[in-house]
Amino acid sequence: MKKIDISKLPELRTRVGIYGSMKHREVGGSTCVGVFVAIVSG
Amino acid sequence: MITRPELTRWLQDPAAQTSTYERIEEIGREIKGEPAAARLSARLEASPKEADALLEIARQALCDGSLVADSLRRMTRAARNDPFFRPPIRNSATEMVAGLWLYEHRLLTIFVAVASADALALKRARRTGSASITFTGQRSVYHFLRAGGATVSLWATDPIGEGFSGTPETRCRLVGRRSLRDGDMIAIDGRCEAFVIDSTKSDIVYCQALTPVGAGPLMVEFDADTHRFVAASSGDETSSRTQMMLSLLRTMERTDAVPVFEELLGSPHFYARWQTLRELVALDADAAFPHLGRMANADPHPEVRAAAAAVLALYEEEGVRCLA
Repeated sequence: MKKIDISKLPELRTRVGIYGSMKHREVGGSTCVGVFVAIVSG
Repeated sequence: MITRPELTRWLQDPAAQTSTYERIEEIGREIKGEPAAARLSARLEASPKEADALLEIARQALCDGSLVADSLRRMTRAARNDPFFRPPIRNSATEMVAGLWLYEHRLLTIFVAVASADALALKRARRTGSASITFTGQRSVYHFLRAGGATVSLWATDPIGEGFSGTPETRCRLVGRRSLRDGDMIAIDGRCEAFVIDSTKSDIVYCQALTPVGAGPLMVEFDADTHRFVAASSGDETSSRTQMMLSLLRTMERTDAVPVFEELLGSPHFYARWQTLRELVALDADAAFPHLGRMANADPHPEVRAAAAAVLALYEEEGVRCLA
């Protein structure tokens, strides 16, 4: 069985973090005062 | 732990503890059985399962106010009679917000909360580094019971859907500012709208009704100064957990799980499809090959098509397959 090292495989240009992750800190916006519910997939 | 006399007595009195717990359960049953909650559930079930229709029902329930008022009245009365009473429903507390999940239904959630003016000011004053304006992807209605003299800025971006691409040109823009008044209601379509509390004179008491129906696939951040795209994260918790499990299966070299990977290539989320394919290529390049060709040609997202084509070229470089 052939394999390719995952580090050689490209990421998308639009990288998407896992649920709930943020890069910056929000101050007083929707994620500060809001709650979240899981979206319905499919 | 240093206990007050009331707590010491309560801890030494099993009957008092049992009474407290029974009261918590009783109030929980009463809240679930509130006539206003039953009416709301019946209307949601009878409604078209579309975000606009569901949020209009929520808006009317929030206007009516009896669901929120009756539930809070029951809990405050019980707490007044028993200092060890605790709300029998889920709560959520952050450095800025303390709230209760007052109503939970598969189509709609109502959260009632207090946002602290002091905490907001402190968060701003202590902030180091960049700040973001966030588009949550969620569909919500906010009802400001006590607006606190707050001013909010309203922001917009192009709708964030399954075809989203975050490029340097992707930005958000200011579309207005408004002072909040007690009783105001604001609908926020988190796929293309966001708000920021710019200032507030006192604590803000509000209800948020939100539906998972029609939610966008992503939460997207823009830089608060430049308004440029900063980052995106999945709006689908299940999908994120699934991706982590696929990484684990690949690390464990579980080739018997290839059918699971293949099934998940049908995800509606472009980022999940691509991450699944990456993991599958790394697990079993031969099994991934037909899917790569299909996605390079026909995936609905241009970035997925381009990445799949790049991996096909890599197959040749790595000597996995000769494509000529």
